[in-house]
Amino acid sequence: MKQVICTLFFGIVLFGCKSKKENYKSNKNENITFAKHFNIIKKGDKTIVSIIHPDNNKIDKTLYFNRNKPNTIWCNNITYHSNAVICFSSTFIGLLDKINELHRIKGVENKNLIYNNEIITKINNELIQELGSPETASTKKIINTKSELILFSGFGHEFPNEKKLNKLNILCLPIYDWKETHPLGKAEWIKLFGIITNKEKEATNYFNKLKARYFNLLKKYKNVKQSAPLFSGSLIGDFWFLPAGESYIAKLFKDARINYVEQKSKGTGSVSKSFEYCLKNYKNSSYWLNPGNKSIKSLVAQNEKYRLFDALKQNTYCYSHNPNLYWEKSAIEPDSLLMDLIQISHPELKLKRKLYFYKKLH
Amino acid sequence: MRKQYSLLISLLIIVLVLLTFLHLNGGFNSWILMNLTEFNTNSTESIILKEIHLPRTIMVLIAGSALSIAGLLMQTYFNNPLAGPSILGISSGSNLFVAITLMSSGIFSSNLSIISAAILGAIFFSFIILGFSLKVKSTTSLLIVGVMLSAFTSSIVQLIQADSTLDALRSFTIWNFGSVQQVQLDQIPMILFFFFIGFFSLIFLIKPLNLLVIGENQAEFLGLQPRKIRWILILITSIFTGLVTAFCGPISFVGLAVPNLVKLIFKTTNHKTLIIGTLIVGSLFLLICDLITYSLEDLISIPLNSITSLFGAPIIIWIIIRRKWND
Amino acid sequence: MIEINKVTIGINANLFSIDKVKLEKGKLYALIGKNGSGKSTFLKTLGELIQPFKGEIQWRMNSRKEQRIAFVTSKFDGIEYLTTYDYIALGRAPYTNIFGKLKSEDHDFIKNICNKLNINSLLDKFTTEISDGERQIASIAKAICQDTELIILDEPIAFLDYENKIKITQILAEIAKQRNCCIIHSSHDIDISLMMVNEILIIDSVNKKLTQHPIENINKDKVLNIAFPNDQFLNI
Repeated sequence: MKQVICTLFFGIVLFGCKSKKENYKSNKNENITFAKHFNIIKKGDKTIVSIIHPDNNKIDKTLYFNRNKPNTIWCNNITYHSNAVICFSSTFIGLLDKINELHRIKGVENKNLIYNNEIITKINNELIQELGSPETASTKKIINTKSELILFSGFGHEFPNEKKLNKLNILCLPIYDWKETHPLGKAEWIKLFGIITNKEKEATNYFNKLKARYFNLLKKYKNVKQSAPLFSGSLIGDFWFLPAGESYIAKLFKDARINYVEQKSKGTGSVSKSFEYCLKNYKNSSYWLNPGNKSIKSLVAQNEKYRLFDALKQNTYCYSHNPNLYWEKSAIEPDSLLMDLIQISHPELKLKRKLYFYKKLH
Repeated sequence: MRKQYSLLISLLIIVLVLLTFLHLNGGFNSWILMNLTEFNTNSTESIILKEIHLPRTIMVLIAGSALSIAGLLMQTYFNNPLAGPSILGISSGSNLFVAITLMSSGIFSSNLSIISAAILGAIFFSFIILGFSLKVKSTTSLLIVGVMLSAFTSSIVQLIQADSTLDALRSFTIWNFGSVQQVQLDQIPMILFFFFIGFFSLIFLIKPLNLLVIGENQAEFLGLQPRKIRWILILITSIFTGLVTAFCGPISFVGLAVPNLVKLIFKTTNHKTLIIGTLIVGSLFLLICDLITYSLEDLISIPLNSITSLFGAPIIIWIIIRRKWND
Repeated sequence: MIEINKVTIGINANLFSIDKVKLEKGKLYALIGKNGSGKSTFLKTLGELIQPFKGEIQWRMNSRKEQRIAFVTSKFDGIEYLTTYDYIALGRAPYTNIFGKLKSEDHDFIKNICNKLNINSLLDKFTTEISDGERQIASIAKAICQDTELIILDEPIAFLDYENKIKITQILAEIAKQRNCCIIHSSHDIDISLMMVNEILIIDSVNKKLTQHPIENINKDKVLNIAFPNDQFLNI
């Protein structure tokens, strides 16, 4: 279930949003270096955050904060608070965890998608409610959590019943971290979470350390020779979805010195290929990431033809991630993800570290 | 069979053979067959031809014929040009039974259990529709019952899906799209086996079907045994529908559109001609649809179902407009 | 050929009873009665579609039903792409093999009948393209092709114009004689029946009786008296 949702999400949704030209010329505050879909401007005690719409790159929402009034957000002349929060994506849980603000969470989508133990315990004790996906979550249930802020993965639309929720002083805030094309851009959203939760300093600190770790890795493995070819994904229906060449994952592949088969493809979402194309072009590739199954047995049971790939035949280089951990932590720990990718694709380095997100399929 | 029919049929067969080779080759985009001079069993080309193109081509030929024949049988039996396995909910019966099988025994359930479930589901739902057809006399009302049956079933399937294991769910989701690409080479013998069972039974159905053209009551005076024929028809329709649904999932509009096209081309009610025509045109129809997906593959990813609906739906609407309605 | 002694007709209830009726080969019979008096039920009973309410109908012959009885409905709307010839040829179905293949004798039989009925010009046309009268003749041709001893027609002339009514009744009378079969049809056209049929069967719905009258012993007044006894205005 989890895996299906993740793969479908990753594949179909990103596919639907591919290749939008980035024409936004921001008068960016120098604080934000990698993220493209939000913007922070400071004026004395006041902080102004603009969320930038992913399709037209215009400002989607403008939020106002005042250092003297913590936990308060102004948006469209309405005052909101941020003491109790609903997270419709486990990525946000990872971000909040890094600044120790998990206690604000009052609602999540589905327990089965959560990795964090603290949250799971709270769900079991009914301190946190399961609400289902944004499309199906009942407004009544949302109100019953007494939340003041809804964080959801934005797709350029309003949250369902957003106007009604606004009248009840519940702010619906779209987060466009998944649109970011730089691994650090995704992580940089922690700065917005810091401002919302009065942990701006901690957030910035974390991000700076992360940035340093990431660049250290880049420096350290700069001269590693390019890896053997790698492809990812599997069939969904008749089509095979792979990250496009300008996507965040492709950037990570590049940084890990991986010879990614679709590195040259256009777009920031994903590309869809027929099975025949994949077999022709990736048959001899050495590495297969994220086939979307827990074991080789179930993968082959799903489609016997997967056996034709060398990566599976040799039974050695097929890796799948732990989906809940991946969706919760990969955005905020891109350095660990990068390290995993380096380790998977460069056996010649003989790294002894235990893989964090990934697991070899058996 | 009259002379012009033989000519027309020969012509259709020639086109079918040519397109089959084109399809086996992978459409206009690739030239695998031309490279076969250096055929060795380990080259990527020969693997693609054997493992990907061959099962897909065979499946397209069989699915097209089988669904169209199922449609023809139902249209004659219900005396309704708009009847078909998917619109009357027969496919959804297969769908439901396969869902239950997959969910209970996981993706490791055998081919035989899946195909049996699909055929049983089709039989079961045929009887439901038959029951309704005795109560509901109007042709269009019966179709509405069929559509409702499908809607009802799909929500049950969703309920089953909500409470099932990850791997089973994933394989069912994939199966649910309606695709001729999922079939494996080792499944082909079983598919052919069931297809030929249905195919040979058709020979014995020509006379009853020709009698059924003038209605069951009149046919009874000419020696038709309605109960027996009803059983046989349902069984054969279910084999054809279940066979396709088990391996391709729901493919819409083929069973509905092709028999109407064939009647239009051959202008006869003689089922000897109609069955031969439907077998050929059915394969041809789905073959052309799938060739289009082949050709567009590099530009856009279109599921086969969209193409069959693209051609099928207008044909149906045209039939409705053209016909003097009896209701 | 058929003798009906002490039989009650009806599906769930007694519609009328028959003391003695005898149907013979070579004769055309007309069945006359009020709407709802049970004409169709009687014809269906005769056609062995339903059982009599009480009693049993006796047959002299004992072969397969489809070779004994042919049945023609009051209206045939035509079927798309079904040619008149193919439609008439369906009448040979009881004599063809399991694949329904027509032998040359069958074709000769059909052509012979079509010649007699003078409908050769219709044969290549679709049944949807010909007139109501022509379709009714085709249906009769199909019934004749079935080569049965008994042909039952349920109001075969009800939907036709006067000229066609006469024509078809005449055809029926000739066929009965020529092919030496028994033809029974229900009708509301008493005048035409009195002109052409051999015997008239009348349902008296008041006394719930079916009676048989050779044409020589009956006239219009008598028919009306039996079939519509309470409708006095008819006698004025």
